[in-house]
Amino acid sequence: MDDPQLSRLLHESVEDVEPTDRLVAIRQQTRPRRARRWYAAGGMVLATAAVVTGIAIAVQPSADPGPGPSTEPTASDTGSPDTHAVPAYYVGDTPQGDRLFREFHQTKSLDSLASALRALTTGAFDPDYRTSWPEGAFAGGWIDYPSGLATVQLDDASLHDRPAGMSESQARLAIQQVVYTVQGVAQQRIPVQFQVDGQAIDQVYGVPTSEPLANAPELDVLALVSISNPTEGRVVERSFSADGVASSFEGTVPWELRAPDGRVVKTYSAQGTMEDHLTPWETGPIDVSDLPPGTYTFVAMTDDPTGGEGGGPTTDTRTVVIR
Amino acid sequence: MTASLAAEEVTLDADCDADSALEQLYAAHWRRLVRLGVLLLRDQGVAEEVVQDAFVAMHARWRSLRDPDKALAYLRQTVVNRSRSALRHRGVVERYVARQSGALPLAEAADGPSLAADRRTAVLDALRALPTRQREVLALRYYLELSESEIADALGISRGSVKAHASRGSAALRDRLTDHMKGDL
Repeated sequence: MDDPQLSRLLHESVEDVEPTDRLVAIRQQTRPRRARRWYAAGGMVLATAAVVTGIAIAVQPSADPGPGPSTEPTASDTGSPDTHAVPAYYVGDTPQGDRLFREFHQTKSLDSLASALRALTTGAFDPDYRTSWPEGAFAGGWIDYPSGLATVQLDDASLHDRPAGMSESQARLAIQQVVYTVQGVAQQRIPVQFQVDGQAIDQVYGVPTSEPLANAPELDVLALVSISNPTEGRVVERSFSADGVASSFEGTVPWELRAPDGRVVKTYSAQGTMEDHLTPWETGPIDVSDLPPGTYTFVAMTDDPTGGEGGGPTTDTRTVVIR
Repeated sequence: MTASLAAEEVTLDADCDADSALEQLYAAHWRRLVRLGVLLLRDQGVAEEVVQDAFVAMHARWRSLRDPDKALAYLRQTVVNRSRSALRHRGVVERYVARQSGALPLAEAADGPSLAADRRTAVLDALRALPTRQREVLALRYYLELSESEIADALGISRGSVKAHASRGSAALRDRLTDHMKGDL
């Protein structure tokens, strides 16, 4: 395979490339997460009152997040009858880098979109997730079903530019956080227009937004496994079941239940299908009547037949309290 | 305990923390990995983004890597994988290319053409026109000078496939670069 001529051509073709120094930017991104100013901390409780500007359209209380992923939270997770679940997408770590995980939030508001957008700014229940949207970022939004367009109102133009410490790919993912959340509420893959004061804003976090934006392909931006149920910190007795969406080798979603000391106490796999988008999986009832009460961790994984060559499996976790 | 980096005069204490590992790997490999990114993506701005993300990801995984050789292999693999997915968003990439001041001029737009500059753009254009796997194999083989088995590991393919992609890729590249391969080379 030796070919000095090709070798020379390739070296020569990039010998003038002098990269800019990005060590400072990298150091900013690798500081402990809490120190990143533009991330709202996770773990906040979602407020239920709705404040919206613009014309709000109530969406029926189904949690179906969109045409791809289509699991609904089970009745046991949907709270009281007058609340319903809205999806919100958050940023989390995966072997493929930052990806979006879906989490459902209960709301009493008839304005599902405003509730979902607020969930983006108040943060996730799952402490492993983070958001790129600060408190008060959104003024509201609406979904125009006949024309197939969603509009998201930013509170002001303060998020026009990409902040120091946010890379371009993080900025693009931040935008996709909103696009996927809006589409989840709409249950349609419709484009999303960002506006300030009723006018399209030309960029948000430095990403061009003059035109309505489509979602990036699921397999490029979504975490390859995401847990819908149980919700974070769910209290269970005797048994519980878990479900979510995934794109995993041969549709297999291995899962584990880990004891408070980290020991794996139950493990099996759920079966879904494998397609070019994320598809639902569910475990069926998991009997925990034989386990002592305590705080356990449920872990869902993608199947990794390469044994770690491709960076290892994607995982999503939920805290489960066995009573 | 120290481990030496392939082809670099850098050693790292195996138990040194993620931050200093990051700094040493950055010092030793930042430029070369960005240049690899340019060969794969044909755009310096996007290449820098991709490599920056790879360093951030490597830092997050340092606890499981814990070894500069493994970390470098991880960086290479991450740069290749992320470049591939950046290309899949070609629309996105090209919109960025248009806005990037750091974008390399396209062959047609290059001003003050010199023979060398012409050839550089021609090589990048020709690489960009190859199928992804061939481009990746050629860049890892002839730019990073990795062995067949290192390339197979980085790309998650067999050594046989590496050979096949390399031979098809170099034939196609030679084909496209006939004008530049005679004369002063």
